[in-house]
Amino acid sequence: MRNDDDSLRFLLSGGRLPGSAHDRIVARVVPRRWARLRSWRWVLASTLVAGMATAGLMLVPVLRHGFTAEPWRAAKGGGAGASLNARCPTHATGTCGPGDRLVFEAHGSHEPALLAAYADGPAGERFWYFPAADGHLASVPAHEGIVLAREIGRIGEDWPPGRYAVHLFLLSRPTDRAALLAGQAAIQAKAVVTVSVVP
Amino acid sequence: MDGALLESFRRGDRLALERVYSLHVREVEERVRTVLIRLGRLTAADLADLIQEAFLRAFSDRARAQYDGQRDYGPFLIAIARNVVVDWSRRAGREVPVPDIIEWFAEQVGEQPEPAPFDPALLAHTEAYVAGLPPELRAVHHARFVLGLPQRPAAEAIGISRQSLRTLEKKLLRGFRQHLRRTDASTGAPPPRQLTISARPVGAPEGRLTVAQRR
Repeated sequence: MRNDDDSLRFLLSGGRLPGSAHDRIVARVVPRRWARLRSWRWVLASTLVAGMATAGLMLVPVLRHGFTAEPWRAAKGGGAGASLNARCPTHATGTCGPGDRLVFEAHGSHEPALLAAYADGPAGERFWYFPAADGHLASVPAHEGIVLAREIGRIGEDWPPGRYAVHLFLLSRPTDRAALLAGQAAIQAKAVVTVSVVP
Repeated sequence: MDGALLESFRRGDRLALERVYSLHVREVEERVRTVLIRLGRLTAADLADLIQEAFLRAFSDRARAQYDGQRDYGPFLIAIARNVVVDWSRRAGREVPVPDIIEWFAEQVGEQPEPAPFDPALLAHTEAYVAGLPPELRAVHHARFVLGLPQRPAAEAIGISRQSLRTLEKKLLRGFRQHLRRTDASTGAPPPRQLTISARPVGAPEGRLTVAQRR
């Protein structure tokens, strides 16, 4: 059946490779992330490091603040399986500097989607990324792995240092700010990521 | 290749490799295809295998490290593809002088008139089917069969989900199969067990593509 379909596709393409053939070639020539773990030592080392890191991350907030939930551990992917993140590529995870680019990532976004995002500052002020003032939402292409939204944000030059809660929403349909805040948007997944803006 | 893409490409980042593939695959495909047509060996399987092998070599750690980023990547990749085809020809024991293959590869795409890869009557039936498609299926045909886009960019280009694209593509193929059967029946000849699509041989009379009909 596969050969039969391939032949029909080849004919429909006028003797060139159809998109389905390119799908298969790309899957074979572009390595997946796990393929890079070429030895058991890598796997073992990664597992140990990940375990230690997880234990540390769970312990630190407890030691600092007792058992209150840390915003950066807020549920990612509260919707249909996709997880969301925001980060400044030029800084360590969770930190940004004034004027930095802020990229938005989705993992497991199997369908093209839209992204809404805003940040709540340390003094309670709110900074909207998307929908922008003209209503524009960021777009997230469908992808099996991690994919970046096509649009990027920026940390304001005048934003005071402190902790910002960046609220992210993956949407299946366009929406406006009011509907988003009222919980009336078609939300596929949501997350809250804490970003510390450092001078 | 710009600086950011080059850096990601050298690291072997998936998105960068996909980008480089989409930027260059058409040129590689046209040149490999030209050689296969002239050898009378154009089949979907051989064309896909050779392109895949060329990119596997080009995306290897060693080849990525060898590319200096100073010159265009296209000629570097074409040289790899040419070596792949030469190796394949030698393995297959073809009586084709290597200098001929090298010369065919060196030709600019479109420099020589291209012989039709299939029987003209079959091409006419195909064109008639495509011309009669409703708009949504014609958009799928254009994205997947004319532009040869992978699923994700094809779905984005049309503005539909990947699942919808898959569904429409299946419908397109099913309709095409039925169209070929009807066309065959209209000749008055009893429908054969197999529909044979003969590639037009150029230089060698052995290129054939067989489409088995479902019964």
